[in-house]
Amino acid sequence: MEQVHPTRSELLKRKANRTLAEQGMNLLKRKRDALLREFMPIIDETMRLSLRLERVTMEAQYELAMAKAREGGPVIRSASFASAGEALVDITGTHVMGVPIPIIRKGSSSMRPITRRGYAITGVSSRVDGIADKFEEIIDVIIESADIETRLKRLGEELRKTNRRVNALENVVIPDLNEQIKFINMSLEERAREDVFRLKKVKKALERKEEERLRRLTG
Amino acid sequence: MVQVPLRDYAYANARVRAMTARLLDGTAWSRLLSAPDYNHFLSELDETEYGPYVEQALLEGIQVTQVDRAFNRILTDHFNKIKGFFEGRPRELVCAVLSRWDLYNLKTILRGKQAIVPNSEIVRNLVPIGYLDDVTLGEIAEQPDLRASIDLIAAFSRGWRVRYGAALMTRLREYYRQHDLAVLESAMDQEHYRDIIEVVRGGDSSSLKARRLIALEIDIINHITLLRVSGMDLDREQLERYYLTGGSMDYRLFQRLARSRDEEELIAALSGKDELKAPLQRALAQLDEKGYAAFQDELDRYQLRQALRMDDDPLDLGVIIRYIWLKWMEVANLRIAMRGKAIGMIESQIRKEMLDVGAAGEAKAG
Repeated sequence: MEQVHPTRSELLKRKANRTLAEQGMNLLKRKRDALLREFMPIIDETMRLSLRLERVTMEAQYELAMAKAREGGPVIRSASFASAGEALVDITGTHVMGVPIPIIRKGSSSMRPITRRGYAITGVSSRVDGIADKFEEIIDVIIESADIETRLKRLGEELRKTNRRVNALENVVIPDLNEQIKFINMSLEERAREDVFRLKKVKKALERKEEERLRRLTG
Repeated sequence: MVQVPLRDYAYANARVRAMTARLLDGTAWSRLLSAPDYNHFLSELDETEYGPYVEQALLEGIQVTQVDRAFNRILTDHFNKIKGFFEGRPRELVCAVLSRWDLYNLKTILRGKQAIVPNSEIVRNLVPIGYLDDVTLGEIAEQPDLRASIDLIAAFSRGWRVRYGAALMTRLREYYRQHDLAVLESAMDQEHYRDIIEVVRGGDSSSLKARRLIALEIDIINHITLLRVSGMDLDREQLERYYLTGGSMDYRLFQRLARSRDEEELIAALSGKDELKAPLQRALAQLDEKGYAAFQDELDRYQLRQALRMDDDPLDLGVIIRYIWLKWMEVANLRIAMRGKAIGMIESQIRKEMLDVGAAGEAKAG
């Protein structure tokens, strides 16, 4: 425990600090509950997206392997040269309980019609369409995952930070203040008792002097 | 021994029959498919005539991609060897049958140039087995940019059987307006089939077989194109771009079917007539399970069967056509088996994905 001066003003100061700490703790607890309410559905959504990503990736890889086997790797590679493109992403931001969170959205869907994939459909097997569909879907799911996972990560960090603060207030700061207040109270009470005892002693001494003076006068 | 190119098929067909006999037999396939993993598969493959190619590929790396390129090299060597048996009209017909690889090679170069792929990577993906040799293709690939490659194709193709250059120049302005390589590719596709069908025009049995094979290829592409664009709102210009001449379907029918809004009606119309009726109906039965890939699979299989049946005369191009398709099927099956082993598929799964090895064996025996 830090050095505490057992004075009445110090007691008032510590009590004010404790009230402030309790108010802060309650606020932080409410923030933690609100963050948890935001966080739980995001966990479900993240799980759903990661399962979808896993499934689509597995299907795409299998179809790619089979198409490479049927058509030959170089033929598929050649088609990939033609269909090279870019995925546009819009990034904005928002705040959840004061936590800054980026919002990542597709600029436009990565899914392209077969006539816009850069190769002539008369010269590329329709098996390539299936693979392209799958890999374009993967890009869409990756962008969705990036948004939700960033949100999850930021909220998770904030939740951990808030929890740590609540625990510090609840288990360290407030108990410390309580101890200090108790110590000051005890010290003040002790001092009051000493004062009473001293006054009683003084009173007794005065009474004894008065009795002696009266005895001398009557004697 | 120096081989003198010939104008008749007797000697060359005997050589090709010998090459057919060297295709992988049932025992070799059993050993390959029962290999416990990818490395054992490569060891088994090393024992076949693919051995030297596999060993060379393994110097570059053990990945599937390197072995895949080795398969292309063996196709290139074998088919170029066959071309070397002939001169004159027979050579012309063999090149015409293989010419779709020219189209593939030129497109690969243009695609690579547009996507700024390194020249070495473009060249690695070329399969020079048509009219155009690796030197010509290498020269086009070495150009600094797409426009320079197009200009060189235009200059070279004045002497080619297919005037790819003229087709590219016709659509160049449209390409610069849309920045869509498909514009140039469809021009090349149309020019290719228009010119090749003329090259194989003739009354002899070899020309008739080559013509039938290429016309069938055009029909299959037109049918698949209709299925792929069904339900899309295409304007007249786009429809013209997707239609290939030289097959049995005329443009008016193509246009009418392409505008058909009802998918089921289109499939019924396609499978209700002509020689593709049977494979289309088989594909239709698998539509729910495999989607539109069923049509591609069934039509490819039909084309393969037709090509394998063309060796009814020992003295015409049919023997060569049959060998080319048998070899192509063997390599396709090796690719399936190799990739299957690489991703841990079991033998029965691999056999299910493969083109019919039994049919190949029968064809080989026949």
